[in-house]
Amino acid sequence: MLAEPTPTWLTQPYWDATAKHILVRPKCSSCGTSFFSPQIACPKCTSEKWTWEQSSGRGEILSAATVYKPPHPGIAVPYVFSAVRMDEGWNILTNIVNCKPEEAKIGMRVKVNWDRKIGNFVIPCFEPEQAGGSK
Amino acid sequence: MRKQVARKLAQPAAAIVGVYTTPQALSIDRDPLSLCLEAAMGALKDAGMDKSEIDGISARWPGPGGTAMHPGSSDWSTMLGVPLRWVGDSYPAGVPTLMDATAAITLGHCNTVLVVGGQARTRVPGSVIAYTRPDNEFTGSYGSYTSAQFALVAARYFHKFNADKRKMAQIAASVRNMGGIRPGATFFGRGPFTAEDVMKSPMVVEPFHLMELCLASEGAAAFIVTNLERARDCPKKPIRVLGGGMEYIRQQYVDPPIYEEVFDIGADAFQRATSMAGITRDDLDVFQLYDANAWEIARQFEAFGFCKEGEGLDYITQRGVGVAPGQLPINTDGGLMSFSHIGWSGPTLKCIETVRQLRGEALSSQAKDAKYGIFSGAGSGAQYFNLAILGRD
Repeated sequence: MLAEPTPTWLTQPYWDATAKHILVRPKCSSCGTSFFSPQIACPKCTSEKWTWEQSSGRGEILSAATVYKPPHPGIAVPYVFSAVRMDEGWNILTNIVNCKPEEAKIGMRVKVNWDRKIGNFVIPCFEPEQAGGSK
Repeated sequence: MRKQVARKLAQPAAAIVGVYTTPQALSIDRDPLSLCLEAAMGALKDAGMDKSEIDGISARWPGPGGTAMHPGSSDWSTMLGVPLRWVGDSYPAGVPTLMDATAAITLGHCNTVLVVGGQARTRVPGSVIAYTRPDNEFTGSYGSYTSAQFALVAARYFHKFNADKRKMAQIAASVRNMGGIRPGATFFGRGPFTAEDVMKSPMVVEPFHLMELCLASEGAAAFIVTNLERARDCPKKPIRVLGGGMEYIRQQYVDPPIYEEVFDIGADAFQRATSMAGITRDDLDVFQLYDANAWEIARQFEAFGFCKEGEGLDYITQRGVGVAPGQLPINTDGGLMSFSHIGWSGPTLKCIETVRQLRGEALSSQAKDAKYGIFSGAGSGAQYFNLAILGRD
């Protein structure tokens, strides 16, 4: 089984947004840096003044690795484990879905996909930018 | 901006005088603390010391409280019946523990430190072992585990350089073949293997086949560090701690490792450690490098400056891995891929094999006249790294 997220007070707004199919990330109010995972302060200027801002949901595959042996027996394989660089300059660990694993290549443009639900959570995955079916 | 260079570095004043590893296996049905106690007493005996000489302990797992894997109120000081002057809580074992113990001894906080750790009864059928899938709200729902995180770094490397994956398999085979002939290794008696054998093993996460990845096994290991005066009276040749260094980018296995940020992690630590030791890379005789996967070995040779970025697999396979003249003695006990990987204390095994090489006690795969050795822990996918250099007179 893929694990259900266990939010903290810091991260709850992220999951509240994904439940509405909105991808957000912290953006520093002082220097404008987008960052992820959420931290109490901006990693560039240490300002604690930041806000959750909506992302375009689009980015590029920095790296992708197809997994054949899952960490738990209940997880279906293969799946594509990936690091995506979002257009706003932040990175997210994710899975690439809605394409064959061999099609998920480094440098490929991707957009957010909202098909995965675990418990009460909606988990943002990514699919080829050209793919249909995104909501 | 960040890096301060050319600072005069203090000389470490400590030596390793006792080492011990229990037999290692995929599964050991024994109380882990009992296994660790065997290792501790074995290392003391190797050092020719009584337990009363110990006045410092670093044994985070389990310990120093000792309750992490054991019920009740056991702790190392109580169990051994020795009061302490220094207790370390270094994470993980291996390099950080050795460097902290060395600093404590050099500064005079204590004289003799026991470093011990291990694991047993950890296995859960069907799942990768628990510590290899650290759970986090931004990773657990994507099927993350440690090898997959390392794979993100390696995948971009192979994409960038179009490097030859067969050479990675060759390195894995060569390292595993030294484990196959090392008594006490988890995979003792297995092999020999060829690169083709490795590439025929199941693909776990691209680009890594099963045989290109480290084990998650069981066993315990311990070593004794003491001051240089006491070390001279020990029965075995003292192996001095000459230098070390660490680097830390961010919390491991949460934010994805980005190749361009982590590809040369260890380069700065290597510069500082060799400077502290007063040697150059060409002086190093043996290499016990963290082999979470076989590619990570090549990455370290690049970061240490033995070759350029992208050329590590070529460099190592041209020289060959082994102890014949001209070869590179890398992970001569079989490394984490074949000897054992015992979690937090996996890097301690690297320290112990370095000591054995420099003593001339490395049995099946002894590098001739080894005088200086380097060992390391963690790596690119973990986003932190550490290394130490040992030497003998």
